[in-house]
Amino acid sequence: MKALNEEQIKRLLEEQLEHDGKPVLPGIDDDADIYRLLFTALADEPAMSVNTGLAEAVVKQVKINQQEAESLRYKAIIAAVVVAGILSAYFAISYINPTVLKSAVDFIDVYKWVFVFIILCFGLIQIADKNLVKRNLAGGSLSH
Amino acid sequence: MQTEKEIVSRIINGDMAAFKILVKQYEKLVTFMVNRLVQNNEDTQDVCQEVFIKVYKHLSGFKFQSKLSTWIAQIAYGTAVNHLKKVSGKISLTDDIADFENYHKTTENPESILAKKNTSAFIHQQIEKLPVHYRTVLTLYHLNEFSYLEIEEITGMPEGTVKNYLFRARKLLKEKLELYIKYQ
Repeated sequence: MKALNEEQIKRLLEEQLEHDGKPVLPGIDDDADIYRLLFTALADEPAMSVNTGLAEAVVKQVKINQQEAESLRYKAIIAAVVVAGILSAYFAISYINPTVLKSAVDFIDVYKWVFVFIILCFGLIQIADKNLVKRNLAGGSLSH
Repeated sequence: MQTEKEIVSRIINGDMAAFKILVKQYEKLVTFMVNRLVQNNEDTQDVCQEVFIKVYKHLSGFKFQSKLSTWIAQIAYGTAVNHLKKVSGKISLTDDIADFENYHKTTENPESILAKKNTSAFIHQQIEKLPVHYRTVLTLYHLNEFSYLEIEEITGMPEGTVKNYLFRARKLLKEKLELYIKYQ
């Protein structure tokens, strides 16, 4: 880090010599000179490489973690909706009038292609989102 | 120049560029500290990454009751110590220090001492051999320039213990340096 000034070295020396039980007379003591050398060396940055790509790697990992958490949340919501749907269907069947149920089934039968089209659209949007939008997001994180 | 509060608030609002600035600002602090504790280059990189991911995750809980550097150093210390526990079992402070004090009493071969090129490199090499808690306080105090109170906050060691480790570590290093100079 930054180089020590004379005042800082003097303060460190006094503290250390006092702790060692030696007289605090820096300058005339050999120990004081060695300690001076030591304090200067301790403040020197070690010869090691700081990973230059650390910030980029961390940001990339954070984005991946966020996407995974989002995907997990999305799956949990779908699972909850499916379970709620099955449970409500189970309880609804026992209360529902068979005539009403038959008309509902007939309605679905008449408009089945509309339902198939809606489901297909939903599926295609999800695939496009995963393959285009999210991939672009991940690519963007590398280039920034 | 933006203040730390502004950068933190931008990060909390999802600004990744601001987070990158924060990582760059503190990467030296974290790397020096983790490297001194972990002492393995590959592991150091993984642990540093883990530290900053934790920083990002918990940043919304940081209320500026301490310095941001102290808080980040606290996370770095905890993560590095946990990593050490994982790779080398539970850290036994007493055994660690006792082993070193005994090791220190054995005289080192003068040729091997002479082989070390300069004082600074020699000292850094000797620090690597110190027990983990000595290395920690030396790095935090001398390299990262934290005060005794801040080191207490980061490591959870009482101030008296911090001072004691620091003085003892310096004394051990001074004796090694004395020997080094004598044979030079």
